[in-house]
Amino acid sequence: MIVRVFAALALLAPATVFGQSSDPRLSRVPAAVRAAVEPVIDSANREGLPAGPLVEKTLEGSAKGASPAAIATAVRSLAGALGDARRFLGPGSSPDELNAGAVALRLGAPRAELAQLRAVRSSRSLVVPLGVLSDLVARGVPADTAARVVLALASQGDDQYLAFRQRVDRDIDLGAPPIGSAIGALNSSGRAALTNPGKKP
Amino acid sequence: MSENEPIERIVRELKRPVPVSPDLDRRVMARVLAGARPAPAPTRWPWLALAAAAAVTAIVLARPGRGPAPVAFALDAPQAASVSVVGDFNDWNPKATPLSRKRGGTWEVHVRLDPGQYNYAFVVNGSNWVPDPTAPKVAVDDFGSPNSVITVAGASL
Repeated sequence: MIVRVFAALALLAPATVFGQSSDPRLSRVPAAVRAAVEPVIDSANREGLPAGPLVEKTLEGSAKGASPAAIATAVRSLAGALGDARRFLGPGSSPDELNAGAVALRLGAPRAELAQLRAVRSSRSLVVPLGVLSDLVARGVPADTAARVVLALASQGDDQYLAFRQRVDRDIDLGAPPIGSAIGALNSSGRAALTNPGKKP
Repeated sequence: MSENEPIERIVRELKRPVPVSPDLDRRVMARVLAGARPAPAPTRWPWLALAAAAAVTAIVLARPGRGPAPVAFALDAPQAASVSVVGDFNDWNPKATPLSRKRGGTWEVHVRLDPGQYNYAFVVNGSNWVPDPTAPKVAVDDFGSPNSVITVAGASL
């Protein structure tokens, strides 16, 4: 009986002691890619970071035909950004929030604004505000301005963020400069919060 | 850069007159006549004649208690033989979510997505990776072909 238990533990050992990534989706990528990313994903797992975005980045790179080294570099960069996002958004942040925060940080969003956003919206999700921030940067608004504009709306609901983003899109489509569109699309309370940053939004 | 530089830039921007393009009136009227559909984005793939897909928005709000949000992906590609959408929601599998060809050369598919943020792209004719011309592109491009991003906001978000 004891022999059987040891045999079973020996079979399990490689997966537990060496922390093999258990996400079955990784079985779809070539062995060389798996070998390149598994140490990174295992390390992220041990740090309590969500593995899902890292697995998805691996699948994206593999689908696009990137080299194992390029995929590992991208996964490592994302893991670093997820760690930074947790540091500035707080350990209680959801995986979706960390993922959105990592994207925002990789776009150059200032860390202080992210921490402030968490402080103001401590009981509400940051996924939509961070998604809007990323959209603004993608549309040409400088990251620091985008972060301040998003922070100015922090006390408002997700629907206000969506309405704001639609106004920005409309103005940019009509030819207005991105930074002016982002500021001009704020509602009155958002504008007040932007011009009085010392006050709580 | 001083700590107040971003604020100063914003204040300068608020004070600065907004330059109005000479053809603003024409574009406003075109937009009104088009029923406020998003204007087509410039494309790097002229052979596809990409145009706006009004069904797609970059942020979708799921209705509380109704589960995953319905999202429509569409691409105007009249000369394409096949189009699929790949992304974080389908493990980047080009065979998982094919689009159907509609009249006029627009390709469409409807999927239901749980709340979260997703990178995605279209794959045209099995090998050409195309970002959504109507959605913001992810500025961080890890593999040499840009993605688009969509955020699904749920009741719990």
